[in-house]
Amino acid sequence: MPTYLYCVIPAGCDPPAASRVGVDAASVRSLDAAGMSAWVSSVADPSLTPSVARARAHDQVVRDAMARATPVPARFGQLLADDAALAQWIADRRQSLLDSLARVSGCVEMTVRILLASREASPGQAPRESGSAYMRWVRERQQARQSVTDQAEFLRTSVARAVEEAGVVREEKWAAVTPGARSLEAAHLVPRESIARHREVVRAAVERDHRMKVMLSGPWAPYTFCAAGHE
Amino acid sequence: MSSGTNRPNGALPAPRVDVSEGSIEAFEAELRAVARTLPDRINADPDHVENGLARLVLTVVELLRNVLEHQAIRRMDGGSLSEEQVERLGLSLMRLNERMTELKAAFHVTDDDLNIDLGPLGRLR
Repeated sequence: MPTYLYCVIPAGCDPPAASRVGVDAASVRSLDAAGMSAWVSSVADPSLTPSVARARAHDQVVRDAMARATPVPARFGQLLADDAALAQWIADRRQSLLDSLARVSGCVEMTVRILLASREASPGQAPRESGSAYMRWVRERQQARQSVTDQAEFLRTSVARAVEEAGVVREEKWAAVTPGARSLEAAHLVPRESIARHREVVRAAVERDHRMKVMLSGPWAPYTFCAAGHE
Repeated sequence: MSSGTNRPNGALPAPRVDVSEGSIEAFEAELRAVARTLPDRINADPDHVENGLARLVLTVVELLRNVLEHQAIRRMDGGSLSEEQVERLGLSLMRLNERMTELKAAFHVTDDDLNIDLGPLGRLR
């Protein structure tokens, strides 16, 4: 029966509770391999069509593992032929997985999304009276989009400086900002003891210093910073 | 940045979403728009496959159209075009824009549908 991988955690952590079930209500167990532990299930349906229920079941198992130690989570759908194949798969990536475990140890992922100025700043409908007027309209639209990009870069720098000065982020990843973007998004790798402080620092940097709107969510498993099979 | 250490982990607080006051609807709208730009499979349903392919093709055309407009503005601002050339170039781009609008309407595709996520390059629009 195929073996489904949820995450990899350091060796020596408590195994999942005997009652813990995961994708398709399959029992979750711990499989030791290459000096680490993998949380896995044997699944009957190898097609594993993505669904909200299955994705939630996957994440809930990863969250359970996070109560023991920060794992290297697997993305949804990581399936191997059997336990032996999974053990070999882990052995083949041993150093990379160990590096990832060290990288995220003691941390969680927090996501930050900041709303940028709306596109109302861009000129209205395209003019139709002449080619020259259309060209001027295109230029105005490009300038409006560029101003949003400049604003995003300024905000990014400001928030990055605030979290660095407060020491609440070990690592950060910002989504690329393109002309016309409507929001600015970041993932922060945050030490567990700094979760509350991280919220305060980011909100202050965005709301108080820039009078902008922010959405903070988490704590999550560190999917953005490492994923088994995508190291 | 703070440095990390290996330490035993305790109970983790439940995930929470905090939004700035008065901004819930704005974030909902933004997340819906983002969700529409996530990479998707082409719908193989015979009744809808045409729309999925049209979205893909129109996205590529829109990307090229944006590149053309950028180049045109750069040439205009660089002073290398006469007034007549600016007018002719503008008319061409305007008609291309109008044609795109017609095609989007024909296939029930919106601007947000063409705002695909190009991964590390960001989004198209």
